[in-house]
Amino acid sequence: MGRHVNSYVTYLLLLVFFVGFFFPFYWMAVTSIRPDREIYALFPSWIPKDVTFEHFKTIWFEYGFSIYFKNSLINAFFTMGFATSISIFGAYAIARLRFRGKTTFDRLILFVYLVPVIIVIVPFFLTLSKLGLNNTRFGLIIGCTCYCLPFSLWLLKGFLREIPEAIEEAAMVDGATRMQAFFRVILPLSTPGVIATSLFSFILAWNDYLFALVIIDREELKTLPLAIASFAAGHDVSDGILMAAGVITVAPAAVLYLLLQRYFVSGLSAGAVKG
Amino acid sequence: MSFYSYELGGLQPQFTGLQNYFRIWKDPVFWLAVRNTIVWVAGSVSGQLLIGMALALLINRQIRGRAFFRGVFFFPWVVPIVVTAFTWRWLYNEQYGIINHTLMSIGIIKHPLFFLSSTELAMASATLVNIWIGTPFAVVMILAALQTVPYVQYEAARVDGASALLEFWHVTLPHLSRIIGILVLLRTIWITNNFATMWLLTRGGPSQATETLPIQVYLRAFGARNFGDASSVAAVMFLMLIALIMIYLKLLKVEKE
Repeated sequence: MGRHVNSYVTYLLLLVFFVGFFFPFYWMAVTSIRPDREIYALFPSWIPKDVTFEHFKTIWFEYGFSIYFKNSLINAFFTMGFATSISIFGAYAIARLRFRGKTTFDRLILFVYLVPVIIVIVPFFLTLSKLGLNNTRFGLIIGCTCYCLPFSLWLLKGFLREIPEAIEEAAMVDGATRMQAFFRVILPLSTPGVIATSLFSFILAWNDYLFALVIIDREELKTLPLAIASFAAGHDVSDGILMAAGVITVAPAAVLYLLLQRYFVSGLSAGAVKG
Repeated sequence: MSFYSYELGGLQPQFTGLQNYFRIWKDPVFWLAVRNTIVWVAGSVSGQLLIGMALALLINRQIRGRAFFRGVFFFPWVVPIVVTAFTWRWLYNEQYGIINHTLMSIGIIKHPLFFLSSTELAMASATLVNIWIGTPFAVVMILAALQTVPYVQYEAARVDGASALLEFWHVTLPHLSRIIGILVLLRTIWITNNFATMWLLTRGGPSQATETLPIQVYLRAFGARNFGDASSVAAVMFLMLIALIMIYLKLLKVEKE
């Protein structure tokens, strides 16, 4: 009997937390689909009465969010590609090869991972200016890749260590070179690790705000987070439109998260979350 | 750079030794940011930890749908900080925000509260948002640590007739001490450095009530275009953080051995 009451209490408390955590999302979604007169009503209802997709139409077609969406997609996609392909080799080297200064290097990665972006952003900005990469897509991709790399390396290294060394030794005894062993044996075996790493770098780049804020100034290159932020600075934008922009920005990351949740959980054990 | 006088559009950078540091040391605005940062970090970290602990303990009970709850409570992490910030600004809105609305309709307050635009409330409101953002991470970490508590010890405690509270204190907590240490350090490091959350919520205002160190670095660099001073503040921040990072690395090393 007592156990039953206990578990009801547990569910009740969980429900309270659940509502507390998800109400902001709910309210964002609800605001984005109601007409303005309902948003600014004297007594807003908890559930929308009229549903309209006006706000979505407006931002997508009139305010150029299709362009920002494309920019974000390009940035996240290339960052994912660079960060993952660089870190798979780096991680392999740290996990398997012996070389001088390896432990120091290993430590440094974790150290760099913990160093805040805001501290390096000024030198980074000046370096990019010297290279003429300010205000370019490529500059932003470099920035986001730098931001992702320490973590990608750390995550992949953990995955590669789990693969027994004997497997590739066997391949090499059979006459494969190290490269062949790496591509034919190790890479297929570490697919879950590669997927987890790609996901994390995609989402980190998709959500990035600070690099875009510092590097990008041109309207046609802005990413979604940057566009939303500069949007809200001009006060003539209604909250419904702002919330619709929010929904558009969250949607891709949310879909990825829901589809590939188990990879996230495996990445978490490596201390995945930044920010 | 922090040793140079370096203003964009000004003269060529000139080496000025420690002058930037002296100037900052005497600048009350710098110390204000230090104080703000401490309040912001202490409030956020303790809040995330306490709520995270409560939630993790709830999810860890033998209930159905554990995997579901674990997945669901981590979701806020994938939401871009920009979206989170604007959603909360909308919730906090003075005129039409649902929070003010609800509080007024149940009669707790008579006039709407200026959550983010009054000097008294801004820091507390921002901290609440930050607790909301960071708690999922604490939940997942604590949950993982809870799995390592041997079940036998709970049984032993129950046989000895320990109350739930005593059981938590003597069995659960000792197993969690390491993860709590790691969490406190990691969160302190990250929240100290966090620029975007506060910037998007308040821009450091009103009248610098929420200006933390990262915001000051940004304002000095890209607002006042004074890269020399900005770098000095960043360097001071960095020194403080190195100490924390070193402790963290030590802790990880101990764990490995």
